[in-house]
Amino acid sequence: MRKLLQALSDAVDALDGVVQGTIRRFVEVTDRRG
Amino acid sequence: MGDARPHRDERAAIFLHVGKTAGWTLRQILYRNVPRRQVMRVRPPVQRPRGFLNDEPLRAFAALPEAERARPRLLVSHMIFGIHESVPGDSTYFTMLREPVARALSQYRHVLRRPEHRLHAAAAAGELSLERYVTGGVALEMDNGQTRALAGDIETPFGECTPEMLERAKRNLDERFAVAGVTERFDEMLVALGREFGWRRLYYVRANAAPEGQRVPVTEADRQMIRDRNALDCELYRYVVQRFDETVARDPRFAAELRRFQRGNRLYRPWGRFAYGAKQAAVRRTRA
Repeated sequence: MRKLLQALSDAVDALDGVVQGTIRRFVEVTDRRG
Repeated sequence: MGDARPHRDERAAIFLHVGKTAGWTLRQILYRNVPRRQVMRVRPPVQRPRGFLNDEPLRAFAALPEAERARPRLLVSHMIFGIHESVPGDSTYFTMLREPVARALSQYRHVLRRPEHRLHAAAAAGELSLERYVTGGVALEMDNGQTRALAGDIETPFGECTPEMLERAKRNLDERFAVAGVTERFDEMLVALGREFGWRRLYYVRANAAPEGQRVPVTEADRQMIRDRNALDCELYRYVVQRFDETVARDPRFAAELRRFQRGNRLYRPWGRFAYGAKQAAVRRTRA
């Protein structure tokens, strides 16, 4: 159970990295287009 | 810390975590930016009669083998200044201060809220008023705690802080701190850290904030009492704000980056709340 919860937590963390990167690029691109 | 990139800075970054400054939220952000194997949290003792003013992490870290001390690129602890002396190679500090009245009140609420705190029983029973907590000598951190932390001084008895300690704290800031910000300008602090260390996963939601229902009624006399007891901290806070303003003014790209960061963070928040909630639930179940 502990391992499963850790794996889920890591998965959420990894997805968070993707979300953050996507938002950052979106903001940069739209900012340049201004 | 799942996909954190290897820390690209050669320096070890040392987070001097002053208590009740939103440092817990900052720590969660830092952990996403430095791979787990490169992070070392030097745990302060469980019982902390001096609050966040700990020198035990300095001694514990110094006792580690050199290879172990060379490993972390991010060092984190509730501790006083000085651990850099045991870091092999280059290192730099960063920290976050808070307006002294707000910090003291937050600290007092923390005592009231946490049954495991050594002063909780007295505070909850009404035997430890805010005034006694701030002026009674029961908590060293209530006597210019932020100045003490940055000066690396826990030896000076309660009520006997000197202007020389303030000067030492300022000198340490100037010589050893790459970034020093304030809680009241948290977003700017994050942007400054990103620019200094190359960290990019900086979007966040607030964590570990005190529930609104636990506010303590405070009079202007209380506020003045806290300022009087923490005059050095008030001056240090002004110094850090001024220094931060100068850093920001020197960086022509800072304002645009801050604007982009805040826009991005607004977009991030719904996901961030979900992700934070899911992780907290997992942690709670793991501990259960």
